[in-house]
Amino acid sequence: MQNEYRMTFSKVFQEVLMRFLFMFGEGCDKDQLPLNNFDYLHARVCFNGYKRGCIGILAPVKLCIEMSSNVLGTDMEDDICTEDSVDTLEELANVVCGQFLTGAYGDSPIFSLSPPLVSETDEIAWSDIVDSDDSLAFMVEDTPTLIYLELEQEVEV
Amino acid sequence: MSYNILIVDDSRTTRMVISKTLNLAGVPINQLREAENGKVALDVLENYWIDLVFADINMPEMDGVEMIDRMSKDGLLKTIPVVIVSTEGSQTRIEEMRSKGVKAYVRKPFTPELIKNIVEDILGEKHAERI
Repeated sequence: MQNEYRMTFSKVFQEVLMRFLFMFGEGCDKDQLPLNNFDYLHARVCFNGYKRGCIGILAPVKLCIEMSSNVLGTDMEDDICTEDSVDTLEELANVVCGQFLTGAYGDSPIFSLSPPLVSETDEIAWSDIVDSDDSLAFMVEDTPTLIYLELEQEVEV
Repeated sequence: MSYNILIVDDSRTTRMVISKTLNLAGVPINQLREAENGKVALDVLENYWIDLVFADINMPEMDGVEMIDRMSKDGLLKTIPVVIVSTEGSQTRIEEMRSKGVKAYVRKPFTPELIKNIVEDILGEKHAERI
């Protein structure tokens, strides 16, 4: 990931966490990511227009429930937080994607965004994304979380 | 006077946040209805009296742009104020939506205060029209 995008992406993710979910995220070294389990969800949103690419967020299920609890203002034990945890992660990815695009390319270009997709992930997928130059690591409320930005290379004609 | 409000967004979380925000802001609500895309929203609009619509742009099946285009072709539906609540921040897109008659454009993530101020402005105008 280019340095200018890295800074914008990281800043946008932290700001959206704070403003949308009332959570604090701090960038950390990928080598120092503690992992206790692989009960993780992976949200992905792709964009098309002036540039093409995808962003993704990998967060533990428990953190997604906490996100849902924060945004809905309900107790984490409430069933609705579990039911809505996937939806909340989808919306987080959607908002981060939209904010990143204006942060990186300004407010003139129009992009179309794909509906966010969430899937379960495993240790292999996690390791692949950790090893990728496109990913950044964060501790969100002391929980390891990954984000990534994949930009399609432009072909010179 | 209380109002009938429709929230159109494919994210249930966002629909609930807008709903909570309206309640916290003390907006007098008679009925609050929800739709997960433009197609469902048009069904609601054809069957129920709605005073104000909050709508996302990017939604599966029918997006917010098509929904607004269809509303603008209907003599009654085109009079209903629409507020866009979207993650999109393109000024080109915002101007396009305004040219279609959208009353306000709110970018996600939003603050409750912003939603409250917009509702007061729009429903205040609407209230004045009714007197």
